[in-house]
Amino acid sequence: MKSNKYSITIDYEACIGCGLCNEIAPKIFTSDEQMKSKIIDNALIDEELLLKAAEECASGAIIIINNETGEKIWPKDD
Amino acid sequence: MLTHYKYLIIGGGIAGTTAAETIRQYDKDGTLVILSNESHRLYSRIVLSKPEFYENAGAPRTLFLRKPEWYPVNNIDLSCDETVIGLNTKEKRISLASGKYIEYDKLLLAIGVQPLPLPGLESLEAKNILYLHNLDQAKEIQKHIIDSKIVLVVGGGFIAIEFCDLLTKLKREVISVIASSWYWRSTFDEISSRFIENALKKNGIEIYTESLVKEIIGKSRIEEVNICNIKTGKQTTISCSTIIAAIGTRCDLDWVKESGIKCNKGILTNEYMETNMSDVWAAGDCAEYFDLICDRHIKLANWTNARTHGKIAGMNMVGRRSSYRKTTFYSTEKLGLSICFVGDTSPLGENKKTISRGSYEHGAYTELRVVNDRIVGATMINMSNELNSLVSLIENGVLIGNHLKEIGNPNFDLKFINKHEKQ
Repeated sequence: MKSNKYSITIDYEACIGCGLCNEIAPKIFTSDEQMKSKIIDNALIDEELLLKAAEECASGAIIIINNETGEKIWPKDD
Repeated sequence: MLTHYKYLIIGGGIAGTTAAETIRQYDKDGTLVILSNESHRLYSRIVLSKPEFYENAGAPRTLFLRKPEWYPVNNIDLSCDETVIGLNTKEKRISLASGKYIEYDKLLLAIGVQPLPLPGLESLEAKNILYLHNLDQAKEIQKHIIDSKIVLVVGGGFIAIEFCDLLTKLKREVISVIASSWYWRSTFDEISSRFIENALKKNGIEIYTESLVKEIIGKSRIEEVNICNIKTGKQTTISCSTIIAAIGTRCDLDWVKESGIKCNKGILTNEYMETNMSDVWAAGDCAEYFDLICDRHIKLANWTNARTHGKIAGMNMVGRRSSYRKTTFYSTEKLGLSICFVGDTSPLGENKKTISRGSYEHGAYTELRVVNDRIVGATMINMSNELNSLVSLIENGVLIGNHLKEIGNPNFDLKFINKHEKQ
């Protein structure tokens, strides 16, 4: 999924469907038939909430890349 | 650390930390302490079951879920390496192994569970067995498996299967030993278990069912293991240098019981996560909570439940009455299988019937648990695309009596029942 600034990907195998991302950022994340995380089409991205959801995801299933710089915002590689 | 706190939380895992965070949303100033018996701030237990953790010597970036400064910024005292040894609910006071006492106004027990030790072994042998329960144990496993070609995994449940999967991904030779005749027997029926056994074999894992570890041979390190078949008495000696045991968990509840708090397998709570003692709540893996959907007490240890418990307990601790009403589920992909369970998957009672949907031959199978024409739970192999539909049927108590014939056919769409039947 692409917003202007970010590409957001869900690592589907890693996601445990706990729903935390949807709780933190309900305008960005929803659930699919398997109760796993899904990014809402044309979601309005609140950067702060997006990063908080990714940081708190216990399975590290949310991957964020900055489109402008190509930088991996989360998870960080260091 | 103070000697009196408004909120005292025992346990620094996801249940305790979520409770603290929830309390802080409504009460910014009430003094709050989290006591942890570990040396670490909140970390992800899920990451400990991933191959990445064991491939790299360092901790992955996704391991810690809170920065060290999160605690002081939120006015939360975190006290690590603390062991609670007593609770006096009349005096509203706990005692610590260090000799200190702390008084509380409101107490949350989020003390987790411990792995069951492998029985019947001498203490010296037992010392060499590894368990996965916390970060320190995971680091120990990390150290051992670096130079282990063959790893023996004892147990047939969730953590054991996770380990079989991740060790295979790490290209280790894996031997699986279970005391039962089929895998994950506490939750799955024989057909579901056959999928798991077949997947283990396909992944090159050698299997010993109805067997126990009888003896460990080796001086400073494990060299060989003697496995004994319970039924035939046949003994087999195999070479291996690491044993990981995952045969279940238990709650250490001695001091909790002594305080007068009612316990069964876990600490008994109602749907508000309240114990029988006023101003004492329980949450997470240690809680045996009243499940409004299953209409009975349930003890199901998983990350999602623990987080939700923490949230509910936190709400109630600040006086915002809130109950736990959620269809519990667990979903994972291991050994090339999608494995799910949802709702009440406890052993069958008098009123509970089962309906098979799909089959082993079909490559996808669900065992539905039905009480009074309503689905109360299900276990699913390779049918996770129906998880949401099943959650909906369970949560809404939809009657399925008119569809008992069709429901066994995996091509029959469960959404049809959701649309057409009464709750």
